[in-house]
Amino acid sequence: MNDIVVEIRNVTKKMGGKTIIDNLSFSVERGEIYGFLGPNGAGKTTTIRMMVGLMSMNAGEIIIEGHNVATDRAKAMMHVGAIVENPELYKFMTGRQNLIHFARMSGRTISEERIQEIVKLVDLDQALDKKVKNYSLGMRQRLGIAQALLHHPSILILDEPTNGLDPAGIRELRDYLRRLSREENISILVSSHLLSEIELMCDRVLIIQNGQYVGERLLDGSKEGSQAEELQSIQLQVETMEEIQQALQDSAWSITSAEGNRVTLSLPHHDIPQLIEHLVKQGVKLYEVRKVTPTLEDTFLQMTKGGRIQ
Amino acid sequence: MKYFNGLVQNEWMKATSKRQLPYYYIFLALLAIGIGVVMRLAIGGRGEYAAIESMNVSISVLLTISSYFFIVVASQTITDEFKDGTIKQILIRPASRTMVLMSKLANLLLIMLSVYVLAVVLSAAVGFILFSGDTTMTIMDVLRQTLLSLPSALFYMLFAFMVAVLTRSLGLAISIPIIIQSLSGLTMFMANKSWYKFLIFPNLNWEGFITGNSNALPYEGATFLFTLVIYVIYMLIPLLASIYAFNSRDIQ
Ligand SMILES: Nc1ncnc2c1ncn2[C@@H]1O[C@H](COP(=O)(O)OP(=O)(O)OP(=O)(O)O)[C@@H](O)[C@H]1O
Ligand SMILES: [Mg+2]
Repeated sequence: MNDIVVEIRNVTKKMGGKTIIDNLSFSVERGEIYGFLGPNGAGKTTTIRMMVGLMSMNAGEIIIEGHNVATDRAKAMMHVGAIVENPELYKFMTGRQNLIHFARMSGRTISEERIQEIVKLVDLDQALDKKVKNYSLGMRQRLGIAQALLHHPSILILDEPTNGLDPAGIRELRDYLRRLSREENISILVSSHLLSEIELMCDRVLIIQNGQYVGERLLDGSKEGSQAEELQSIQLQVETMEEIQQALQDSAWSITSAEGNRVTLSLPHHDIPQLIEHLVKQGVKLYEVRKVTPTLEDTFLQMTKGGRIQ
Repeated sequence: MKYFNGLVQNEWMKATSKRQLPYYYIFLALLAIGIGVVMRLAIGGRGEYAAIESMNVSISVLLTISSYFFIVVASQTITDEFKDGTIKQILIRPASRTMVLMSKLANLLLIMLSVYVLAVVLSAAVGFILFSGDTTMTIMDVLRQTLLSLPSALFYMLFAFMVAVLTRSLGLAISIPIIIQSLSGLTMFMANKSWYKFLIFPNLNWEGFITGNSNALPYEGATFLFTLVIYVIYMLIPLLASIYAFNSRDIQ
């Protein structure tokens, strides 16, 4: 089922005579966690601002649940929950008052039970009647997510949600998001410049740089990288280095790196069976043959040609 | 309409949670008592001054001070949302930007109404407790005088609101209307100019029209209709400027 919740079509944004977003297109499917990755200044926040109608665009269109954000903003926004940059809330009000505030703005009737349910989901029952100024950053982040979810949105947009969270907080957030996408069948778009967290959290990732589309990857690695011609890294565990070096001497393949009794080779995907056959015939004792899937970091570095990452 | 009411309720909830408004009510109460006590001490006996006259003095002091409070509150309702970044939160909802502005204005009117009612009630209570003398002044005279301060209070409040939307600067939004208000008296020296009647300042004074006292007219040959037209135009300008600017901006 390829049910599209959000579609960005050829969007361009210029600011101060500079093209910040350049003909960007992508789409988010129902129920998936979609990573939105790019180095600092790539244009992630700008794209998100356009998606939620905070900024206009110079060209292109953004469609959310069939509604064009530029011409039908109110209808589109009924399906969106978002935190743009920081979880900005009214510090002088309690968590409950904040939720009531945003419930009234949602354009739907939101029951007391729904508020209770969401508060449970993000684990804020204890602190709900405290003023938000006394909340920790993690609690604010959770309250931010709670207010974004009140109205059963189809898409939750989070801009750098792990900013400022400690490792435990990040882990917690990741678990919440996973649970959410499962339990509420909600699509989640998470922007980040941190590869590691996108890798752990997302089903699919889009990479942008300088406002331009760089690439898109499925994160289980099963689909991409298996094309016959594509170079594939293979790691072999052998008995001795000499043995394999000898065996490969007159072949078309060569070792790219070695470590102890493990060697790595890079070769086209369709060559893998031949390589194994060749080694076996040469009497090389193979203990293990393993495909090395490039980490997102490798992909990212390769695609952005060394754009700043952390 | 239900949605809009919700937005106004939100604004009221924010205004009352900020402590500023509750504290201002307390301040008004203390001020009313202070004014009454000072007058009583200065005058002496309870029967030597009329409750109504005391009420009149007290209301006019309370409302003069409140006109600055309205300017501050009108500015803050905009600039605080920008300062705290919550503006993003309210503009990513189904509510249009115009509707957000209107709900804020409606809430400002509610705040203004509450302050007016409180000023009248407090001044009356203090007046009747402390004084019992005779006067020809009636309650109706006092109320009329009270309402006559409304056109000016509304105009400067809306003006502050506009400056806040245009500049997002609290300092400018408070100081510009106050400076204009302070300097407005100087325009009286231009009363003989033909364009004087097109300025907003003389047209904020409706006393002559309401009381029928031709000496209180802002300029010779003034008519209520003309003044109303000028007033409406000067109110529409800040209103439309705010709506236009607020709708056309990218929010960073
Ligand atoms: N008002 C503006 N005028 C001109 N350029 C701007 C303006 N605002 C942002 N930019 C530029 O737009 C680019 C994209 O900014 P954006 O905030 O969208 O990046 P980002 O991907 O969210 O980065 P980060 O990871 O740092 O949050 C940056 O290069 C920034 O300098
Ligand atoms: Mg950003």
